[in-house]
Amino acid sequence: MNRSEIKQKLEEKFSCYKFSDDPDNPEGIIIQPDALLDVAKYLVNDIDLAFNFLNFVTAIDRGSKFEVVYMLSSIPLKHRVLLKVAVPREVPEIESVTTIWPTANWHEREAYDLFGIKFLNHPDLRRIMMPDGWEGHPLRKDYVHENMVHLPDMG
Amino acid sequence: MLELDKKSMENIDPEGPQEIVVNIGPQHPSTHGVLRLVVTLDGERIVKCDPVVGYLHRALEKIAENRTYLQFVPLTDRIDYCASMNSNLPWVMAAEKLGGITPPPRAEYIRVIVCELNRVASHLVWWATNLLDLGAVTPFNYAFRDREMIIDLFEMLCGARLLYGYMRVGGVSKDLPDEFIPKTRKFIEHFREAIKDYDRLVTGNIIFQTRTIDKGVLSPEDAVAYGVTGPNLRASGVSWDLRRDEPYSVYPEFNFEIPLGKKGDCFDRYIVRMDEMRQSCNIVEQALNKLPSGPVIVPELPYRLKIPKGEVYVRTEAPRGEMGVYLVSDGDSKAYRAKIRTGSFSNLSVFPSMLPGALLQDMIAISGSMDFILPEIDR
Repeated sequence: MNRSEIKQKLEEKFSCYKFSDDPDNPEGIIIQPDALLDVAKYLVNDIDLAFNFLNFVTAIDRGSKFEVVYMLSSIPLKHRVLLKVAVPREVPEIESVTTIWPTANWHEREAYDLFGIKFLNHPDLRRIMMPDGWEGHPLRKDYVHENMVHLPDMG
Repeated sequence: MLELDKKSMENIDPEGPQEIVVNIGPQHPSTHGVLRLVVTLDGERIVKCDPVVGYLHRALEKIAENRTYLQFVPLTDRIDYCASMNSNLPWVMAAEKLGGITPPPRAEYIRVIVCELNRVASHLVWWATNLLDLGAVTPFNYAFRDREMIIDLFEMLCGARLLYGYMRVGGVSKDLPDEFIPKTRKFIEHFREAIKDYDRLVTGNIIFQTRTIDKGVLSPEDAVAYGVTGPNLRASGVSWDLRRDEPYSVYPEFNFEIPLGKKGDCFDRYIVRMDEMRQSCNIVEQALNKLPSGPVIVPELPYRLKIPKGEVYVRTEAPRGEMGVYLVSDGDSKAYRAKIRTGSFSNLSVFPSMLPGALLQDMIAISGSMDFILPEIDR
């Protein structure tokens, strides 16, 4: 199934939510934050979709907002899709999908550690890469650290 | 006696569970790098295990935002230093896919050859260290003797013995030297005999089998739910190999089998990796036979390559599972965001759920059979 078919199925099932194509990514579908859990459950359980495999969860810093990215694959049906959810920079909060894909546990911990995105109802939201008590979230674009050296731009 | 010790002594309930917490690592011979495992034990049985990672975190994803695509290639070697060639591949493929660059056919064949040879070398490190953990010292010498031959081949190719930095966006850095092909054929001929020795030495050994059969069983449902990939997933009986199921490079042109396990125990994971080494030899042999002539890199690509705005996720089958690069470009010569997805990260996340009820000694056998590599987890 390609993106437009998946999107069409989602639109038929959830008339209350809005779905749009990601202009940057030919596999990406942008969904609303409050739709995430419903959509995720449907993507796993529907027999024509069967997205049983979560490749990774990560985020992109877009200035005023963060885009939380979920890469999904289906092992039986061999298709894949990328979900994107925008969360505001001031309140970077989103529901955890750990109950649906247990692998999200560590991936969400990583996104929390490096981007400061708070995953609600996560069973164990701790830092994973940086030491406990580290200040700031290193993959944010505005992160500064005294030991960071900017290389001269090469010609 | 210190005040603190006195207090903790008073708190021990003689009727309650006698649990103790054992800290294994970060510097421990059986953790293969700097992995720390905080294990709660009831006698010899494991109650709970909490892996602590991050000791090798070098913020590669942050560095990628500050380097050109070419400059980052040597850093991708450091993702998985046992399989540097396989770590180069997703990075250059992601940049090529987004930039609309097609590498010449000879480069694609060379990539497959070096990746499969590196897979054998990586599995040999696993074979040696896994058995070393289980108390068998001799296999280490056999595996490193044969791995040395592969390293010599790579040294001939690019001068480096561990971190090759061989691939480029648009191809590979140098063509194969004249002696490479005959020496690779000689190695394959040698290795096909050597692996029979391995089987005679270890696979049938009763002590080895007792330590591994029915230990650390990973069900196919759990494996998929926890995002386990690579030989660990196939040992649980899930037939999923990106070289066949989402073909990249020139893999569709080769015939090879996907070895599968039945139970998903430590022994199955062992057998699957042993078979994979044989299959890799078959692929290398076919690629050598079909190797086309021509250039090995797209000519005159600028050093400061600009990649159009967009996003792509490219994934490859590395020795330890799915290694992929999610590349976000805003049209500049540097990546806006690069996420590196590695096999070991998800493979380790399932590890704590496999342990409760197992003996402490089994934990070493299980972690050895899962083949974690820490720089890949921490990045």
